[in-house]
Amino acid sequence: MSDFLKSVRFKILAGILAVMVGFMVMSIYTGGTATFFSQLLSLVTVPVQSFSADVAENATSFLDQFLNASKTYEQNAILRRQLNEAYDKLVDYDKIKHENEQFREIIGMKENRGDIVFETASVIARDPAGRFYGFTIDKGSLDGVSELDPVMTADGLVGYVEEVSLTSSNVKTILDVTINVGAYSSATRDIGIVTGTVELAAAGLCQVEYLPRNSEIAVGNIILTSGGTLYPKDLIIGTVEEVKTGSHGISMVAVLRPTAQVGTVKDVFVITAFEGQGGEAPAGAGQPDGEGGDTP
Amino acid sequence: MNTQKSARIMKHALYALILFVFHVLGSVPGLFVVAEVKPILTIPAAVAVAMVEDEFAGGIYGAFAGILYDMSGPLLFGFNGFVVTICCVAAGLMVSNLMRCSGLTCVLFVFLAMIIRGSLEYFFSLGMWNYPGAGLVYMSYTLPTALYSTAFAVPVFFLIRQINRRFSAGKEE
Repeated sequence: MSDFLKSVRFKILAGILAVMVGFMVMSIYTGGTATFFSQLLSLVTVPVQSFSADVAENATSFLDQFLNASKTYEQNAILRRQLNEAYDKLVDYDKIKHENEQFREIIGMKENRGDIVFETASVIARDPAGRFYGFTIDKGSLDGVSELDPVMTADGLVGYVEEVSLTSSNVKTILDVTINVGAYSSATRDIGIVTGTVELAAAGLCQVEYLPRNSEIAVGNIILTSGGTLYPKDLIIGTVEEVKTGSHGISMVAVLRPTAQVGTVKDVFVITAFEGQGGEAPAGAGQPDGEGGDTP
Repeated sequence: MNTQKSARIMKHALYALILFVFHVLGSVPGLFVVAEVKPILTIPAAVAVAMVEDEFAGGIYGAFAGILYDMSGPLLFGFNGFVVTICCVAAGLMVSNLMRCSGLTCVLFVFLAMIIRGSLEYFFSLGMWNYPGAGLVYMSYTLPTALYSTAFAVPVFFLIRQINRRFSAGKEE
């Protein structure tokens, strides 16, 4: 033992221990930064560790399939149950989110139009043979919806309630050839009647008829409802895409692109009440009234 | 002469390789984990080398094993190198002067080395700072790690001794 303490080997080992102490002191001074020696060693060890970790992970996951099959099966059943619950919650979430968005839109609109009473509704069916994108909504007379109530989205007017059942209603759109909505241009104040044509409906368009011959209406002008007993005033209908002379040459016609996505709309508002609502078509339905009034 | 020298080089290269492989295996995430405890495989290997070789070789490999552990350990770089070097030199001296070189002795030395190293690490990192509940770490981590690592002492010892005998036999020839 005493020979060892006097030997060169002991001195070498003592030197190694001194180096270790030096490493520790260096570590303290560098504040956690790895020493040069440590960094050098890690150059060798880290790639090997990384490779072996990959191998071990692959091997473990491979063996897991056999060793933990029953556990995995149980977990799978639990996860499937949780997934189904999550789906249910997701459906509820979507529904609530959707309602929330609708209510926000209603609030936004109510701030502008305090006189309007809305009922939210979802499109539950579309007329498969219909050329004018008519649809059925999930609200009926039990919800306060009446015949001739205007139907719209936050983007603009869609149409009106053509037929009411207890829990559903059929909606006729502004692309329909039988509809007539009193309208005016926000830019020129010229009044006319919005109605559909078969050709334009195929392209998702409609038109404003009976504009004055000297009208300065132009592409891009916004068309609004002129108000009356059927539609509240100043609901956006669409924007002018083209202006042309009417078939008899005595008036102008503007081709209109509805701001509401009439053909693909999924949720709508039914205006169940507004100031001045008559609920009945005025006499001479289908013809423009002198004040830009509307008819179904 | 050349055969002896190359056998010696081969032997020490194998020791170093074993330590390196043990270090890599010990640091693979999830490998050998039992109840959230991982063994330190390099220390049993270094102690075994100290026993079958001598205190000097033990000190060198102890320093190597400690430094490898230091690279992934929580304490100052060099701490484990310092402690394990001393433990391995002590184990080599004990076997040279007082005790038999056997698997049982290796178990004892590995356990002592692990307890000393673990206790010092615990003391410097937690114990001396009086963290609340620090004792739980010692009971649930330090001691189980020492025991789990000790479980590898016998197979590692026989592996190292086998290498030592094979290359020493070559030396005798």
